[in-house]
Amino acid sequence: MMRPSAKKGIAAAMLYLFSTTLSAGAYIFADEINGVDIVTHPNTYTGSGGTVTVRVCIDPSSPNATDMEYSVQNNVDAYNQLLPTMDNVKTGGNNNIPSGFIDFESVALHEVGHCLGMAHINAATESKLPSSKSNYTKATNGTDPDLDPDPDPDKGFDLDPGPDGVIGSNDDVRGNDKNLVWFRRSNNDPFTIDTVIDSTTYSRDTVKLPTGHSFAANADRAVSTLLSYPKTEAVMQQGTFYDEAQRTLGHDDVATLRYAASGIDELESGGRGQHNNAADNYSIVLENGGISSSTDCDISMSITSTAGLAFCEVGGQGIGPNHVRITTANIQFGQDFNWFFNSSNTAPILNTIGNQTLSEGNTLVIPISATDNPLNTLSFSTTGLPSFASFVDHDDGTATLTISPAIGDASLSTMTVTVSDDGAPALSDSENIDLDIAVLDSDGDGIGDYDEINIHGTLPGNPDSDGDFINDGDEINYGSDPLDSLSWPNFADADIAPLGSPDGLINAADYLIAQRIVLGLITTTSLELAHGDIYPTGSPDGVINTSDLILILKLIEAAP
Amino acid sequence: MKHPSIFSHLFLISVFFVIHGASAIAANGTGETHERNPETLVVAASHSAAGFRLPVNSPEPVIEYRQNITMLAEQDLQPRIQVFSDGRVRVHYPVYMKKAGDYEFELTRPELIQLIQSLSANGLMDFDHARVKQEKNDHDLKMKAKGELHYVSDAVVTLIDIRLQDYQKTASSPVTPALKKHFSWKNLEQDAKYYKNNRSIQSAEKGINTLDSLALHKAMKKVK
Repeated sequence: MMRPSAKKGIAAAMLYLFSTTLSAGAYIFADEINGVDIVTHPNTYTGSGGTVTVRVCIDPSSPNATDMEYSVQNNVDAYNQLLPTMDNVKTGGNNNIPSGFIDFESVALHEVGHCLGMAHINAATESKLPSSKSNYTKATNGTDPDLDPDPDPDKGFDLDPGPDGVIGSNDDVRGNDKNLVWFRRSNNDPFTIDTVIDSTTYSRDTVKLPTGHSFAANADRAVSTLLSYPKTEAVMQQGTFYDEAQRTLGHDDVATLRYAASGIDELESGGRGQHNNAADNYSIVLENGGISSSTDCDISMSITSTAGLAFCEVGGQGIGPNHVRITTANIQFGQDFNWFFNSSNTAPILNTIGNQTLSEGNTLVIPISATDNPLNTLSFSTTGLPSFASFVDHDDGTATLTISPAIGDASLSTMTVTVSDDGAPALSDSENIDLDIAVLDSDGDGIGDYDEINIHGTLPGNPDSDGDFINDGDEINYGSDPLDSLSWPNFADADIAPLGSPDGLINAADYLIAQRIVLGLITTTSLELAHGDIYPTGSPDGVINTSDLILILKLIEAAP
Repeated sequence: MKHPSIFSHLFLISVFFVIHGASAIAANGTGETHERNPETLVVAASHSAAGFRLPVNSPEPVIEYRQNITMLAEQDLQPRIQVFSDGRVRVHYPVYMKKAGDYEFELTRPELIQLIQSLSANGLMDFDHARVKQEKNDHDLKMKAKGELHYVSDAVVTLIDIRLQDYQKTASSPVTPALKKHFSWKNLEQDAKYYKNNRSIQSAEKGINTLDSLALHKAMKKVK
């Protein structure tokens, strides 16, 4: 006989379930009967905050139990890290899965997600829609009837991909279908994530969609392509291909778990009402229980004779208004399928840094990052780091390379950045980077500042230190003294026009200028003398006169 | 596709069939006789077993059984078994399954008749989807009233198409001249375990087990 207090508890739980307070979206048990606003929590959450520990075990009676261990550990790591990743769909040569095999680790990650309370983000099997339509955003069919068994191919759903033609995107037209996927209120972009994740930033109610959006977008790979992201998909999207790995969580997966973790009040930092603080917030920690049939296993996995590929079967119990917790969870995988058991570590991949070029006196800060699948703890190191560069490993999977060459550091060097994981075996990836530090020449006279200051004594900010109209670089290169205004090189090339800024051409303009100098109409400077004093050849006499004029004429005639 | 063959336990068929010669004669459970096309298999209903008529050379399968594994996004996502009226059985497993490929074998006529009658006896020909779905919902509501919810992810949809002529569930049942039954049920395997008191679901699961056992037939040979 049930105790009165137990009856009261159940009644309260059911009252919770049928409350209509608005909350978040794509959780198992959320439907028209239980309530579309239900948020489902892992099985050890009862409404009080803190750490919620979920122990994942492999049934000892399961075939391939030991083969499953490595992937289960990777699953546990992925959920504990809660890192949203992009480009998480790896096909063909980008994974270690043989053709015709299905990746156990990826499917297990999906099923564990169900066992933690997450539902599909797409219409999926449960909609009974044909596969061509199963990627519409998860929703109920509203008030339309679902005519069993199959007279209505759309099962009462309103399905229109909208102007972009992409199923599951933000312009889908869904009639009276009721959305079940919560979305980021600011942008309805499931490939991004907010810093705060609760009812102030996420919603299931399409009234709160950004202007111009007609339905919640879901994190399907086709939508990621539409939004110009690399091929990315939420783990909780139903539909995997053979020879495909999807072993890391997407932004949408992380946000769904974190939304639930904001507790019964669905507020990270507390809010109004009965649960008026953050005391109901929790963090999820998965524990790897190994191969065990212990009663303290919260999720049990096994390979069985089930006809399906895999499924998670859960029981649930109401714990608050529109809040349910998992009570039992087990996962079964079909034994008739070609399972690939990921059993070896794969090397991290250093995101491309590239060769770097900058001038002395400048600073370049380069963020360094890497991906790793499975995600292990990453560490970064360098060799050949020049004295003008520094490198910091932030111990969070990222690092920073700072290059700050001072004047005099101009050089061409090569350094190496390496990322290493702590998997078994530990693996790494490296990139050689050429650092091309260019000379700083502030006044553009062809002589670097460092040399001007330390070797020639010329002014780094003035191209003509002695004011003789010949730039310092030319003087040094032609052997004259750049600090003596009476010393200038003898170019003897007859290029004196335009006056004050020779153009590198020998033509009639040069002759006319020379003629006016000879006639006394123009006073020469060292610049004209350097170019126009060409007689006697090889030992100019310091003036431009008729002898020079004749030679200039000959040079013009000989010019091409 | 996981249960031992039932065909090793042939039982006495309570009806008789005739399929020879230009003047084939069939008798049903009522004792009435009919002259039939020589290419037609005729089985008369009895008080406990189904009667039906099969055009033997029909290219259309009498029974087509598929499992829609929609956790997969592949084009070829359905293992399937096709049973033809001449007894031929074709089995297809997609590339990602251990038995990937196409297989064939032939059922003897007693095996074919027994198979069809077994499906009939397990209620697949007259499975009432709407009624059983309502029964499930009623059960779920009762469980919910007790504070218990239940959920199964990533279902398999079991699909069966059965085409028979002059189908009669038993000798006392009405005759359906052209039976085209489409059975579609999500999570039948799990439902059979969860809804233990639902006789329709339990029977349907038994029928599926019978079809599954075809894939263990000793005569099955890989053809592709």
